Amino acid sequence: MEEKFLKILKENQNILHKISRLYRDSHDDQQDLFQEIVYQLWKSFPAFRGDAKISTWIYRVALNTAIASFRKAKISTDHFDSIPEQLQHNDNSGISENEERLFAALRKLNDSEKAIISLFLEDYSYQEIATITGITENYVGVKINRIKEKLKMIINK
Amino acid sequence: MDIKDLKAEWQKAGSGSVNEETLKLMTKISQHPTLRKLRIKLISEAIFLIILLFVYYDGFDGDKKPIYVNVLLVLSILLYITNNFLGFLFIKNPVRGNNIIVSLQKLCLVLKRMTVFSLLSSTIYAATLIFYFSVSVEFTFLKYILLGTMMLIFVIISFFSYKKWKQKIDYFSHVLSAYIKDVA
Repeated sequence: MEEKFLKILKENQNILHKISRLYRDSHDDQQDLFQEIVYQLWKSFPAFRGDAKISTWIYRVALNTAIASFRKAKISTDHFDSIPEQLQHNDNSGISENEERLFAALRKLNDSEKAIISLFLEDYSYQEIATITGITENYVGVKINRIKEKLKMIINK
Repeated sequence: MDIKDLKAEWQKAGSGSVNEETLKLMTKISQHPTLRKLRIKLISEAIFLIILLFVYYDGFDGDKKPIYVNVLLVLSILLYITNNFLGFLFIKNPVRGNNIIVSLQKLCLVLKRMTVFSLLSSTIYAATLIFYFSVSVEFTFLKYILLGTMMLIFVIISFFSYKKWKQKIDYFSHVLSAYIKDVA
């Protein structure tokens, strides 16, 4: 079982990296969260029966852990009044720089918005987002539109 | 940048390769960033308190105190150890439901119960300790001052402990309400 788990985790670890970067600011905190998610996934792996996609299960546990696990110092993650540079100028910027700006923008959202938008950006259906978050499918759409507007404002600020 | 660009950027993000050996280590509690330290603290405290249970009777004149005072002290120490253990279990299991809302609802409920139990067990523990050392003591003015100071320190510690718990409850209630208000 451990071998199977590690193989799945290795193949899907990009989800863990993204969620850690989304929910924590500093590199150390991101590493701690990454490790916490791995631990929680391992604990809940025996109960995973394969009803959902493996990536859906990973997202569910990862988001739950990111929101519910205790943070070291402060709770708020708001650091910037605006994003360092405009996201839309991707002509001269390297991929990692653009990625960094994307995460800086996403980190301006609150915890519930972060969960919904991360699933939306990953191309999950409204039904899947509703299942993972617990809000109704109808409100997923409403919520996503609001977050998109907010994100646009953050990026263009 | 439109939503398609954001999606593309998100989907290619998250690079970074942690090998299987490191991932395997991360599944162990001994490698956990918080739980490892908490477990050491929990075990050290429990060992200290259990040693105290074995030596207090001879060391702190247990034979000269009434039986019920001795029983109270033992029970309060056991209650305190139980509280520490429950706190550890609580931090060890942040994921409590099949979706985020259920998980947060359960978390808030458990946090409220933990707050009551933690404050109650600390109060009983401190009150019993003070009571134990006060029984069969002839009080002078200086001893009253000492007793008053100890009680004051305990009240201040309890107040800050309550504030810390409340801060956690408020935070998770706030996150939960951000979801709930959209469902309603």
